[in-house]
Amino acid sequence: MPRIVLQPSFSTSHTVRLAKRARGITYPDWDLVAKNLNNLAKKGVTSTEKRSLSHAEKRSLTKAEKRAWKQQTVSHDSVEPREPQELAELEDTPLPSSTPQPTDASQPTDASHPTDASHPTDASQPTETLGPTEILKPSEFGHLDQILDTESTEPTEASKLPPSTKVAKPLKNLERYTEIPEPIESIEIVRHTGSKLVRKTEESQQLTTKSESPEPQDRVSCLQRKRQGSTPKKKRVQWSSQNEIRTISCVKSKTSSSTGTLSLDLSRVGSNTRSLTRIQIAASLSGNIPLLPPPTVGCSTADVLVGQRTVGSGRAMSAERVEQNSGLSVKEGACGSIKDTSSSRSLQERKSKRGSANANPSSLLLSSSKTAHDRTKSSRLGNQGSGAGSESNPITFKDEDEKAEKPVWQQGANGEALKQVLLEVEKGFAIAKSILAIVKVWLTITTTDVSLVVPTGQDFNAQCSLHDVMSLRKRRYLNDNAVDTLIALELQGHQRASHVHIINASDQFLMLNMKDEHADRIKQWFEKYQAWVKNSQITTIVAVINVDQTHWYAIKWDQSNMITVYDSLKGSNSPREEVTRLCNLIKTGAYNTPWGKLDANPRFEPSPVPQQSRFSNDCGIHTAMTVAQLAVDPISLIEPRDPSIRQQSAEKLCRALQEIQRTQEKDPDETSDEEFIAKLRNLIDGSNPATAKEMKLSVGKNKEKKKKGKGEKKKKKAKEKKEKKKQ
Amino acid sequence: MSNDASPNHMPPPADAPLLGHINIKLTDNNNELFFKVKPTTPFGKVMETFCKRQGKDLKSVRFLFEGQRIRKEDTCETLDVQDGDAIEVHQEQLGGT
Repeated sequence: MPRIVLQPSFSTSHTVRLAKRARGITYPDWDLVAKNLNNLAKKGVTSTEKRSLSHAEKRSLTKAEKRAWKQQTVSHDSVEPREPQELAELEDTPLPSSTPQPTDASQPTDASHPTDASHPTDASQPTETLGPTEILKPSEFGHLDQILDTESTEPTEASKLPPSTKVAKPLKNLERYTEIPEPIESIEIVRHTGSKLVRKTEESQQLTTKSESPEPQDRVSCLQRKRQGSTPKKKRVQWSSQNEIRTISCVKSKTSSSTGTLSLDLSRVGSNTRSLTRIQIAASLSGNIPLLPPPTVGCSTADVLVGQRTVGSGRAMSAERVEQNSGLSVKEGACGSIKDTSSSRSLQERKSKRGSANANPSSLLLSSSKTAHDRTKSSRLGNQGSGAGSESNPITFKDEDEKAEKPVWQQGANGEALKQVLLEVEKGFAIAKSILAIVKVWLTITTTDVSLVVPTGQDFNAQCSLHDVMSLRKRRYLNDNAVDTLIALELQGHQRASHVHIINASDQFLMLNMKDEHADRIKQWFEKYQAWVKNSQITTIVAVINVDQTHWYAIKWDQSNMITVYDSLKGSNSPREEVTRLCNLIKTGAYNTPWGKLDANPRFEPSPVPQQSRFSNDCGIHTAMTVAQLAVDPISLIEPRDPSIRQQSAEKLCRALQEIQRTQEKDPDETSDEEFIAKLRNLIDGSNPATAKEMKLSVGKNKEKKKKGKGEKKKKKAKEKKEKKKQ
Repeated sequence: MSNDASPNHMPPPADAPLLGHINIKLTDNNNELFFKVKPTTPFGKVMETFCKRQGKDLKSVRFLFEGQRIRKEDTCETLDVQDGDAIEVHQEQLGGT
C-alpha cells in the first residue's frame, strides 16, 4: 500500500484525515471497494444477505484470514474516525473475503467476535505499514468523497436496505429528534462529509427504534403525547424550559350550581396573541372551585385549543369539542376568531372583524357589553390626552362612569350569571421558529373580590386578598398583607396581653416618609391615629421590621429601652437602622409618654429563635408566628416550629378565604334575625371563639345587606300592623 | 317681571370649578397625578386609573392617606379627605431571605 503525504492546500477535514494518513494508516483498495459495491448493486443483494454471506464466510475463514479482514476494517474505519456510525452503513460494502489482504500477524485483533468487525475497534492506533511514499492529489480525494457521496446521495442503495440493518446505531444528528416519541414521517439528516453538506431523507421508523427513543419528558406537551399514533408530521418544535407567569382573568358560574361553568377571557393574555395556541386548565370544574394551597395544583386538566397553528392538527378545536373534553362553556366561533388573527389576513378584514362586538378575537364567553365598556373607557381616557392628570387639568370621572354598572358577564346556558375567577397562567414560548406557544392555566384559587378581613382588636385589621395568598407559595417572598393576616389568624382564639402593642407590617409604610424634620406632623398624626400612646398600660411594643424589601424580622421593645431581636435568619446581623428609625418616630410622636423619655441609644439583644431552613424564604412566616406569640405572652420563649409551617399557614389562610366564599354565596336572608343576634352576642362575649371567628369573617361583608334586610322587614311589619289596626 | 338677562340666571362658565368636587393628588415620590372627584366616589376608581396611567399592578401597590391604608370602597367622605390632600402610593413590602 502506498504511503500518503499531506497536501497542504486541502480543507480542514481533509487535513485531519490526511494527518492520520500521514502517520501511516493503511487504507483498503478503494477501487476494489467501489467495484464490489457496483457488482453487489447489480446483483441486487441486500445488506442482510451480504451480512449473512459475510458471517458464513467469516466462520469458514481461518484465523489469519479473519485477522486480515479485521485489519482491513480497522483501516477502513480510520478513514472517517469522526463518524463511525456512518460507517455502520458503509459497512454494507463488500467484505474482503474474496480478496483477503495480507496483514501483519502481530496485529491484535479479536477473532472470536467476527460480527464486531462492523464496529470500529480502535481507529486511533495506526497500523505501521511500509510502502512507497506517494502524494495524493485532490482528484483522488474527490474519488474518496465520491464514494461517500454515492453512498449518501443514492437513495436506491439505502432504501433497499431493511430497517433492522440500518438501525445498528442512530446517527448523531438524530439525537435531537429522539426526544419525541411519536413516529415521524421524515427527518432531514445533515451529514458532513468533507467540505460538503449532504442531505438525505430517510424514514424515521427505520431510524428510531423503541429502545432508542427515550420516554417523553415533561416539557414535551401533553398534546404531543396524545398524538402518538396519529398522523405524522414533519416539523418538530423544541420547547424551552423557561416559562413566565402571566395572569388572565377567567369567568365562573356565580350561582353554586353543581356543574360550574368555566370560561376564559383571553383579552388580557398579552399582545402576543398570535402565538397563543393552547390553554391548559387545571381546575376542579364541578361544584365550588376549591381553594388549594399553591403546591397542590390541579384537580382535572382540560385543554382548550385556540388558533390555527396548533401543534400538528393545524386547525382550532371546535367549541363543541372543547365543551365535551373539558366541560368548559365556550362561545361558538370564539376559537375561530383567534385563528383569524393568526392567519395571514389583510388588515382591513381584521379591522372589520374587530368592529363587530360579537367577534372579539381575544375573548371567550365575554359579553359584548364588557368589551364595549372597556373600549369606551379606554377611548375616554385616551381622549383626555397626555396632559390629563396635571394640576391644571385633573382627571375627572363623569357621571356615566359612576352610574355605569360593572361589566355584565354573559349568562350561562341555564341562565346563571358568571363571576370572575382569577387564574395564574404559566406561559411557555416555543423558541423554534416562534410558531407555537402554550399557555398553561395551572392554578385556580378563588374569586377576585374575596378578601379576608381579620380584626385583631384595636391595633389593626388585616386584609388579605388572593394576590397576598399567592405570596405564600413555596420559596416566595411574603408581602406585608400576608404577614399581617398570618399574625391576625394566629391571634384568633387567644387572649392578647393587655400591655403589648403590635406594630404590624403595614405600618412600615409610615416610616418611609416620616422624617425627623416633620416632627409637628408626626405628633399630630400620633394624636389622631395612635390612640395606644395614651394608654399607660402599654409597656411593650412588638414590631415587624422589613429590611430593604428583602427580609422580615421581629423586635420587642420595652420601657427599659431594651430591644430584643427575633431573627429567624442566622447571620443576617439584623440591620438596626430600621429599628432605630421606628424608635425615633415613636419617641417623637409619643413625646408625652414614657416612650418619649427613653434614651436615644437603646440596647440591642438577640434572642434565640427557631431558624428557617435554607433557601426556604420563610422569614415572613417565622416573624408572623413570633409576633403572635409575643403578643400573647411577651416573656415566653419562642417554641420550635414545624418545617412545613409555610404549607400549614397557606392552608389556614385558604380555609379562612373559603369560609368567606361560602358565606358570600349564602343568601343573607337565610339566617334569621334571631340567629344573627345570637351570633352577635357570641361575638361580643367571645364565649364561643369559633362562632366569633365566623361572625368576624362574615359580618364585614354581609353587614350592609343584613341592615337593609332588617330595615325592609321592619317596614313590612309596621305596614302590617297599620293594616291590622285599620281593619 | 322677568329678567332673563340678569346675572343670577346666567349659566356657569365652562371653566368654573364643579361644586362638591375635591381635588386630590396621588404621588408615588416620582410621579404625581391630580384627580377631581366627588366626595362619594369610591377610591377604587381612582386607584385603578392611577395604576393604569402609571403602568402598575393594583395588587402590588398600597394607597395611604395620612399613614392609613385606603381601601377600594373608601371615599373622600369616609376618610375625611379635603381639597388639596395628597395620597401616598407605595410599593408593597416583600421579604423572604
